[in-house]
Amino acid sequence: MTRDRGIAEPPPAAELVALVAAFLLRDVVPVISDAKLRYRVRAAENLLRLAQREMTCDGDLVRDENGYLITGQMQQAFGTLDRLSDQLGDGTLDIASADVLPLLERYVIEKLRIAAPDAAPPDVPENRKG
Amino acid sequence: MAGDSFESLRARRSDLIADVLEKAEGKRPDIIAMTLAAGGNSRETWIFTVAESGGQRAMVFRCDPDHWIREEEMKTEIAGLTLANRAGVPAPQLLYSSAMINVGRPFVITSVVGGTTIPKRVIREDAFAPARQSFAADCGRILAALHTAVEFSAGWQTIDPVADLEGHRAKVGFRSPVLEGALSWLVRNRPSPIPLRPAHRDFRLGNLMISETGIVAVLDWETCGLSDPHEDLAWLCSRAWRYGGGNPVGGIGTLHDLIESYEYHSGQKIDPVRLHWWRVLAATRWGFASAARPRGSAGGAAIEEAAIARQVCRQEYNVLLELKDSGGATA
Repeated sequence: MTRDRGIAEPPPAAELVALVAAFLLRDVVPVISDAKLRYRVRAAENLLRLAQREMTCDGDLVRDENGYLITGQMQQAFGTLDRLSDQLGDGTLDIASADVLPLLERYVIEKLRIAAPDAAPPDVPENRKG
Repeated sequence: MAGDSFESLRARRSDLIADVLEKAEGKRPDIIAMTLAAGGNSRETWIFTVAESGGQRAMVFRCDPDHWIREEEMKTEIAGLTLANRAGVPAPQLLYSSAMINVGRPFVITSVVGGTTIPKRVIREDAFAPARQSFAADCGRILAALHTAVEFSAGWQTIDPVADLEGHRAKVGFRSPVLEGALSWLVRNRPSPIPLRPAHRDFRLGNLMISETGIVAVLDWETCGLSDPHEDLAWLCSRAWRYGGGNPVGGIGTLHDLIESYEYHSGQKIDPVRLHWWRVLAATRWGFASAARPRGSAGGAAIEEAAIARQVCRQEYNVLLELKDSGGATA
């Protein structure tokens, strides 16, 4: 067995995911005649792209102790997403207040960059605050 | 039905339609064409044609899929179509329904209306420019006709929008600080009650049949009920229903045109603070509805469920934008 000396390391997880997504899109989707199955394979390809973005994102999101994505600032202020949600839900915090709304906006924009980059606003400095 | 082929499904629906028409008209029809309309995961819409002496007649048959029969929603749809037909709100003509004829499952048969429901066609194609020109004003006029048709709404259900949201929240399997915070804000800032009116409650691009010259029919009446009239205007303006269009009314028209037309035709003033509350509610409602979609399927269905769950952040963003856009704003 010969080794390809051009590849120093096996592909990392994000690259494996991207390879499978590209395979589905280029080789599988074009030969599916059933419309519903084709739609679902496209959806699967999109989910793999999403997973790839999450693996490689350089934003401010981390996983809290319960597995939720959360910004570093939210984690510092509230610890967990559950605690923040509780305080917003019971009215201790007002979602529309000037200190809370920008915090949540930053958090949602970071999630959009992974799940729906087309819907995320441009990555300008003011969107990186808060 | 698992493993049911499309041909088998079509044959069974054809039999069902024939049963209805035989009971209604005393003669088993000769169905010569039948197609399933695209879209609509929650309901089947079949366009069929029967041969008649001297010609043909096309109609629409709507029923629930076999795995998801919703008797109450169909009753609501029948009530909505009935009101629309009586009050002059443009809608398909209700011909037969399960309220008139029992064939063992809920259904409606209506007239066929021409046009398209595809939002991107309406928003982008040159041919629809005249329809776009008058879209916001047409919506105002139609909603005014609906909201003033009180005499035809006897027996309509009243929906408590906050209780409705809390019902959705109970089904959500994960935490959302945005949706939970918005619900709390809605409770704290709820406007005082005003007289309720018949409302469509899903009046938006996608549920409007539109020709090149304007709105032909309002479709999908399954969630209609008595509500604050501001709800329909706010829902129409939701960011979720703009389909990439830049303007607030369905991505097409201006809020000024909508409100001016509505107030002119209804004689009722629109309160901008109340409208803002309903816009926040609309965004939150759609956020909870997206987040409350069932999970736990396997295979391809699980793919769709996972994709929807990860898109809830779009609705969360819309909620925050509505909250930032305080009462009276026109964005």
